[in-house]
Amino acid sequence: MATIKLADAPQWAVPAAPAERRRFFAVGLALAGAALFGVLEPAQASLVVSPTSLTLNLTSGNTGVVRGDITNLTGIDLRSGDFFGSFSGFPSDVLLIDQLLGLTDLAIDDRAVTRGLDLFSVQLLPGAQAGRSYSIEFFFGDVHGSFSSASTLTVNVQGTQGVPEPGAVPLVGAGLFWLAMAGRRRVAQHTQED
Amino acid sequence: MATLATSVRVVLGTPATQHSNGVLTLSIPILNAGNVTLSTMACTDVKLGTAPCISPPVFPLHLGNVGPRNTVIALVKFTGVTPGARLLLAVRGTYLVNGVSYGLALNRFVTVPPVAPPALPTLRARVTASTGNAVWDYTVVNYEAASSSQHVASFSLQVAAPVTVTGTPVGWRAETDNATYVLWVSDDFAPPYATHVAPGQTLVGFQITCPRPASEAGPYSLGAWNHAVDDAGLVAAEYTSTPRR
Repeated sequence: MATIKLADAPQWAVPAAPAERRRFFAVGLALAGAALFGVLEPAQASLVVSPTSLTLNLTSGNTGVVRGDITNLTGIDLRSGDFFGSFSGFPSDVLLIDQLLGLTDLAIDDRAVTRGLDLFSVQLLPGAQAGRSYSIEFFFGDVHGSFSSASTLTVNVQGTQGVPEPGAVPLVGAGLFWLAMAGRRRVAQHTQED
Repeated sequence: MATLATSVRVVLGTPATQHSNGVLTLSIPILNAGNVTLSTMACTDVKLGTAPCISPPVFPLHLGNVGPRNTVIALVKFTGVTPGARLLLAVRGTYLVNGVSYGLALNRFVTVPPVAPPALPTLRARVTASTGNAVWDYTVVNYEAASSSQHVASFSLQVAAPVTVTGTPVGWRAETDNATYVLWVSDDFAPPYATHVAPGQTLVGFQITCPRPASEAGPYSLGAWNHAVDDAGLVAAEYTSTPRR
């Protein structure tokens, strides 16, 4: 886990020429009006959660951990107990999800990035079918009202279908041996008759 | 692969907490912040760190249909928590969209508040249930102090399945529509109210049957009669095991 302070964002320069300044002011007024009348959605996603991967390959009964980076642009220093994860859209009889973020001490100051965090774990229950894929929709929020964008994790169930059980191998071997012996006996009988 | 064509966004709000008599009560708001109705939402498990959950005693806890921008509340009780401890509240559940069932896992850290007297006085009484072979047996326990004048006089049970009342204690009678509720009330309407459940006493014999053997959490309430003033007394409301819908 590593925390990096972001450089200060560049300051907006006000256009110098009067014509440009008027246009800038008009655009600003239009945007403010649109926001006032509900045309624009309020700004969101000042909490940025970036999973290292959005694919998890698991075998039945196993648990995988989704890791990622968190960028705090919320304007507030965040601590362990501030984060909460919401997960939906997955088959509950196949996947078991546990939040890991915040279970250990954590501090992400405003305008800082912390990398390599354990976000959540996914356990594949015995009902999962090999070769299938399942999806989980998730996002994180903080108690001050900031939310990350929604993401979709794909869980691929590893293992191949149709693999013969170990007990079937000696059975097939014995059958082949019996066939070989029967053929050999028939050849011997034909030889004696000749 | 299970995928969603619509945007589902569910948020666990900040729970209201009350910590008294060794029990932490959480009133958990679950907000549908998406743009699609989540049908037949049910809570299938609630964990608060490793604290034992004492209510509801059985899952699922049916929460109903939750429209966009609507909130439902789940009332959950835990014991064995220490004031000041920060614990992860993890709520698991299911919901339907377009007839397909999906899972839900919601989280929120909760700091256990200091112990405080309850905001409202409630009846110190509860119902315990035992189930088997599609039969639900209930026992009413009044654990008010011996000096209390609160005697249990009614037991109301909300159900969501076809039920038949097959047991009523002597001196009580049952009313039901065989589908949504069962109400047992004491038949005593004049002092000394001999069939009321006095402080420290228990009463068995409340029984229902249902063709479906599985259980879910269902709300109940116990009403007391205040013998000191000969008027309606305190009420206790909780979840118990009922036939599954």
